[in-house]
Amino acid sequence: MTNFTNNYFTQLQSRCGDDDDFRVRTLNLGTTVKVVSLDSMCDDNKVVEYVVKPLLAMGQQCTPQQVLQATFATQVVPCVNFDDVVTNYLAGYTLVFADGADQCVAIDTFVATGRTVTEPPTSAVMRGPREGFVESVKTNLMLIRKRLRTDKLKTTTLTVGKYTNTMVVVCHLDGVAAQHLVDKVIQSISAINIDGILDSSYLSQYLDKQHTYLFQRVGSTEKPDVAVAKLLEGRIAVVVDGSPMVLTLPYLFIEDLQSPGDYYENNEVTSLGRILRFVSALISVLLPAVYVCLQKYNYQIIPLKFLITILNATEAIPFSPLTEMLLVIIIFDILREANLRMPSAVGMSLSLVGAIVLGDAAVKAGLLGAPAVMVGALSGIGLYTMPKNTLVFSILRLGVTLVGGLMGLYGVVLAMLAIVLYLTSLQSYSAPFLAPYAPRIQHDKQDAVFQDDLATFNQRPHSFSNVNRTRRRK
Amino acid sequence: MNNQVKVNQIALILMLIVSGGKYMSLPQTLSQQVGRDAWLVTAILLAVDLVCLAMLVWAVKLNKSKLSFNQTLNHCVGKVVAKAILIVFAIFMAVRLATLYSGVYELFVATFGIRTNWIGFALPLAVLVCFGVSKGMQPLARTNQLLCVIVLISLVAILVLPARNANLSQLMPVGQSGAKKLLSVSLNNGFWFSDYVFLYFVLDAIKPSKRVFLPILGFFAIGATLTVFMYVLFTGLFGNMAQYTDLAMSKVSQFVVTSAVNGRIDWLFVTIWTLSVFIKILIFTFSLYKCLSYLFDAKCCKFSLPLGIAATSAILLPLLVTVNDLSQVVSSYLRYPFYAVQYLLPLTMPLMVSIANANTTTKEANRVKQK
Repeated sequence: MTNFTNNYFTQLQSRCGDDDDFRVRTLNLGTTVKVVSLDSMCDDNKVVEYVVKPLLAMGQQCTPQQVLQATFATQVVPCVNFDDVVTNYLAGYTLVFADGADQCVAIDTFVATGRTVTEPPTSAVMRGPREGFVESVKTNLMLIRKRLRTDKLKTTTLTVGKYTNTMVVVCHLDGVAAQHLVDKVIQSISAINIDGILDSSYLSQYLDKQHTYLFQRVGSTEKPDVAVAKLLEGRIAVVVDGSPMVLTLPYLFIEDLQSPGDYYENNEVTSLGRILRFVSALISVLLPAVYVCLQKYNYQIIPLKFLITILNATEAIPFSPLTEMLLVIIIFDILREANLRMPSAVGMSLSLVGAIVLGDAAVKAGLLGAPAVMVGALSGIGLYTMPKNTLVFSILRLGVTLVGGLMGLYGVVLAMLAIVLYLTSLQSYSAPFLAPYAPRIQHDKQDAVFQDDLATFNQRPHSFSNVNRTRRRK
Repeated sequence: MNNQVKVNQIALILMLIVSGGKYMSLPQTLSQQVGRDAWLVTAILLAVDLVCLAMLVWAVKLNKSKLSFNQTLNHCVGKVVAKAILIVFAIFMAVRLATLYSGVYELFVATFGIRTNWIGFALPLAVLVCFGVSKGMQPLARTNQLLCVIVLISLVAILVLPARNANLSQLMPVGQSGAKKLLSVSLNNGFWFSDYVFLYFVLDAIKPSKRVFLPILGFFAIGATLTVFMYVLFTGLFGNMAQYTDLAMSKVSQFVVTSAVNGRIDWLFVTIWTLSVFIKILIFTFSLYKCLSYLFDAKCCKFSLPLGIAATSAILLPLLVTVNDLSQVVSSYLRYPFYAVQYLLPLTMPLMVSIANANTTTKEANRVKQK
């Protein structure tokens, strides 16, 4: 073997040879050929069909260059340095070293296992595509590309993680997304110095430059149609190998109100659904607090008949309204957490047992009042109307209830003002987080709480930077 | 800290803060002095405000070089006079803030009938205000933009629903006090007006726009109309008893309730309306903070000693003295310096901004030539 192949083969053998997965097959085809593969990452059939069989078919009189070209695989990568050799070896490529050649080749023999494309569990829709992203970056890119058949879809591949070497692909539509945003995202990802990332959520921490403590400012989706819709708006998508969640940037608060199914329904129905979601989110955060402070301080606000009903239901309760409500909220949160972590077969029965037995028993035992259980349950269910911020709203609910219980309506108003102040101060890649309402961006209100007819969406959103605003020529 | 604001946001702030805070103890104070003509005094002072605001807006339009208020003053009147003006502003803002704090406290006590501990009331508000101001003017403007709709709905509900009980004949005869009396009362109570003064401190932060006059003056006029209507309603509801009726908002809102069995829905409206007072406190604290920053040439803007002092004073001051007495004493002694910055300064601002901008442009041109 020449120095090149000899050196790199020897180096590779010394680094990985003690690993039981390291496989070498030596062939004598007039020139010495070494076929190296990582057993657990390579498909044996592919190694035989794409590499070994073509080599053996060449006979005994081959030049090194002929050896390197003898493959049936489509994905053949020349390795010109040792880093390429190691990277491709670890990625499930079979390496062919030929004596006398000035390089070796890596042939894609990666074992293709993993989940098939199915409907994502977190974003089920009544109408519209049911495909969901999977853990393979290639499949995910395929799902995007098959919807965006244009050469304007550009991808930039990066590797993150010292040990995991995770492939991260930044996608954008050239001529639509703002280049400075794309550069900023690539720069942020390139700057990550970490031992490994296992999911896209690792990256979102690094992409959120302001380090928001509560509200996330990096979107994520499991649906290719949603990711493509975002790309068409001029946003950027980040696909991470091993994660079925594709990140989208910039991300605005209003996006949590938008469901994937909204765009496949009548716009009036969608608007109604969004109003319901918005009101539910408000109820889930404010209702327990308002209930506590009305019961504790300002019961005069409650209409008389309603007040009598509440008084009858709560007169024997041994706790103060605040303690009672906090208990209900905490019990609900415990049930939610347990339900998430239980095996699905047990989870359903556990939530039913929790809701019926605990709630009913607590009311019957006179520990909790029925109105408090009802308010807590209504507010708890309301949290799920904005699924990405469920936990945030749950924390806010607890905080606002506590403040309301201690300071009355004054405290609730102050808490709401503090939340609004905080939200208005946030930005996601220079886009105001509460756009299009604060600041008011008239154009983007067409797809906010109310949705206009899709046929009138002539321009891309104005809330964030994009290059080409025109979406549809009149 | 982001301080860039749009013209529309300024307009909405003006609309909300003109009415915010003027419906607490002021209606009673004016009624004691001019009886049923309190609304006329309000209208006169708001009309004067409109003229001064127009001049300030003109100054904003002329400020092509984006000079701050401090830079403008330094260019035109020199550093010493500029500092003196800033001191007057700081006192004006601090006293206005103290009156707003104590006013909203009294309003909550009177409306809900719960006498909360003062520190327990003021401390959370001061913390919130510090938090808000530390975020900059832009989040404040956006917060106002988001909340102004619900605040306006509550205000309109409080004004419209009791209107059926108002007897407008109680306003007759209009101008009974006489022009001289009206003018002298207006002159004595100017301290409670001129809410546009915060514009001085965002002079360099307003994003250029083609339409400046119409939105700002238009929204101010809407806020002013609502305010005058408040006073008309107050007199229409209480007549001669107005001078004995304190905390107008609390008393007027009671007329929203049609029947006792329906619950005191008006309390919810009042609670939401107080958001406008909180926003006013936030805007004034921001202005005070900027004023003190100019005064002490503070470079660090994140949070700071001046803001801490302002917040602490706001909490402690009412423990030491009665705020209304203090404000009357301060405004009687400092009335003329206050009027200078409230009314005289806005009239001269277009000229001062023009001079400062011309100086800056000339200096820039000379610098380019030298290079």
